[in-house]
Amino acid sequence: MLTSIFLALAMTSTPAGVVTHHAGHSTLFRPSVQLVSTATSGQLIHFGDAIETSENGYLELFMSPGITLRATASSELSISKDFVLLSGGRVWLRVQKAANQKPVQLRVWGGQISIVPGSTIMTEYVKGRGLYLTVIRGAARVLDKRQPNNLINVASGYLYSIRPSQAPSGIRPSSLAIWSLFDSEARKNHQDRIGIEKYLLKWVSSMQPMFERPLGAEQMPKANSLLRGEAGQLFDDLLEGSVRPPPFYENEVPPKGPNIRVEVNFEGD
Amino acid sequence: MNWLLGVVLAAQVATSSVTETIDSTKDHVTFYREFSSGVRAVNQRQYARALTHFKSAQVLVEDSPDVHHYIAICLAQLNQHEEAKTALQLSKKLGNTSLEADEVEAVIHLRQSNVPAARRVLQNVESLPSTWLLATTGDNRAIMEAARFLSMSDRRGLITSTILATTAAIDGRRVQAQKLAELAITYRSRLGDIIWTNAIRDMNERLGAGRVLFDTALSLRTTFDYTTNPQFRAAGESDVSNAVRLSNSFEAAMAVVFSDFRYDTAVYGLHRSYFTDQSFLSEYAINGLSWANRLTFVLSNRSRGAELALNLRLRDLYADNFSIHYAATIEGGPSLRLPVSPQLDLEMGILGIATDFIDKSPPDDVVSSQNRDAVGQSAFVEITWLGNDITGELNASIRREDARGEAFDVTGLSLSGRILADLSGGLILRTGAGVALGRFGPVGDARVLGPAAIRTEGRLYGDISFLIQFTSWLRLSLENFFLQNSGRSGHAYTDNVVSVGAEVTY
Repeated sequence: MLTSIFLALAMTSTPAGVVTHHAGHSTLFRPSVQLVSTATSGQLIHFGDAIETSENGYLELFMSPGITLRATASSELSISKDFVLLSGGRVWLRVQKAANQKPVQLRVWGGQISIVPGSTIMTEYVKGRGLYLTVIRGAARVLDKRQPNNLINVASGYLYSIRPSQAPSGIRPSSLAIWSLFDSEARKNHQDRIGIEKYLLKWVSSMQPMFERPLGAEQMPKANSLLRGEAGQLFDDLLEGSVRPPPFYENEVPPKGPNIRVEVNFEGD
Repeated sequence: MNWLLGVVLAAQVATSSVTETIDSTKDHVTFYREFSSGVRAVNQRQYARALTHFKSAQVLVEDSPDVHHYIAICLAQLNQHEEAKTALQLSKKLGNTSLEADEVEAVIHLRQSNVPAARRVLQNVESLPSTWLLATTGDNRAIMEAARFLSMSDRRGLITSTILATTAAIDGRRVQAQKLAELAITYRSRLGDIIWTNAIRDMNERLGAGRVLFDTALSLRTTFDYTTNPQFRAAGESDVSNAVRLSNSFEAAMAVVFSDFRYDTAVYGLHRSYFTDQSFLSEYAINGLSWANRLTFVLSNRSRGAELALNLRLRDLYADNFSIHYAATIEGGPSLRLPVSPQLDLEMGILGIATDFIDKSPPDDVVSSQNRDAVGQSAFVEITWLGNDITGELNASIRREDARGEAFDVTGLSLSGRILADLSGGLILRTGAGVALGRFGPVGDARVLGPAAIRTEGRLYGDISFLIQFTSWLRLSLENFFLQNSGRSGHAYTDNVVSVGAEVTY
């Protein structure tokens, strides 16, 4: 009877999540039962598990109610009840605003990141180079060990970095280019599952090339002003210049020849 | 004995609570199994099978935004677009704030050809694929944003160059399209991406890459004009107070694209004849001919890149059935066009101008100061604002002319603005206004004559026209042009021209 109780108690260990996708090779460590196995799609993850992706590894985890975690090549992380520990590599983490979803704590070198529900972040830690956090959507709060009393809010579109032997650099705008590399790697692994490339390919294939209309004479070069009416813009200035009276009457214009200026100075004795 | 009973009771309590927990755990395990099977099936593009798994998962956990998100993906891929949108709305209601949800929604809108709705969604999504999608709708901001990825020698560069080549080809910018297509081929060869290989090859065939391409255009325009001052004379000095005339113009233009260049050439002719007061207005019944050329070099392979152009135009003006030869002009020079933002282009140029006034300008040895022939320079800067259905231009220019007769030496500047709006129903509004200042002289020695050595003129002008596009080749036009020239007595005049006509284009 006691055996059945212990067996039942062992079975009550609720899984933390599941591997939803993998590519290349990743290793799963389960210290409680001294298990080392290859991570495969559909494999359940338990609290306390550690995962290491190889040089060509890629892994996606889902943890209910609304956490999706993607780890790229050469990443090391472990899943605890209260936090996820990133020991190296690059992860993408999305936390949905699902019911009962609490902020996710991501422990990293140099501090801790709290990811607010409704947010997506990407973070990378490279030994010797430091940690980079990019908030793609929503917001994250960073506890930088160098400023333990200051919780730093990083908003969507911004980047925060913790670099060894450097003073805190503050928050600065991020750019699409920074995380698009990881993003495109993830999309490649997921085989265009929402059909963006499929749509783009169809759009490219249906393209009918046009020819920009040849330029009109008034554009080469641009006429002095386009405001002479449609028909008058090319010739009315010439017509005006030909027929209008000159700006000076003839009797106001000195005849051809040198103009002589005489200056007389009267000076006293 | 009691302790044994206690243990048994405790065990019963423990096992019942454990049983409940086991059920809950079993549900969790089943949910995760169904969810991961669904994701796996999606990644294998087996959407119908995936949908079955997600629906099983949904039975176990009803309020998971991710499950509904995947249900929407499956339905969209199975072309059940309305059901997909409903699933997506529910997913968002349950807390799905992901980029991917917006991307799914945008793809559904695009598949349904609902471009405005797709644009609305995509403008809030920050991802490269969504920028590509937005670029397919002709959004200039997205096109410029995507162009930053052209230098990435990976898949991003490959897809970006293909997309931007296509947008350029659709807009008719064939030089840019060919340059971008060449880049796509380079990436294709380097990356060996099978999915895009056929699309790029097909695109190149349709673009006619490596061939000399040309296009022609022809337009004929007839208008009836009512003018209040056909002789450009001061009040009280005109022989006629108003006149009605017929203006006929034609233009034949051709553009040739080869390699990185585009050559444009156009011949424009105008004939104007008066119905009223013909004896007074015979000198105003003009025949004008112009030949203009432009060689454009595309300096970058971006979809909207910098362009350097060399321009040259000849103009010749006659009147009274070619019995009067008024003037011949040659003008030309370089201009540079730079896109400075998704909606702003900057163009600047320097031009040289030489005008030979023939019949109406006395020979130089008669009265030197009255000879109008001039050689001059002009420089302009123009800012063009490109909206979806509206285009605005702001132009500033300076001009200096050195005439044979010093009375016609002129320095001047002008500022003008113009708006072109595509109103609904084939109606186009074009309007603008400008101001110009000119200073003539000095004649003689300005130090001796003082202010009398120079004359100044100011000019204010504006126009408004409505164009009604009846068919792709026929449009009607209604135009009003107003000009007020302020100068010394005998030189100030106003003119107002109302035109009604039709234009045929090919």
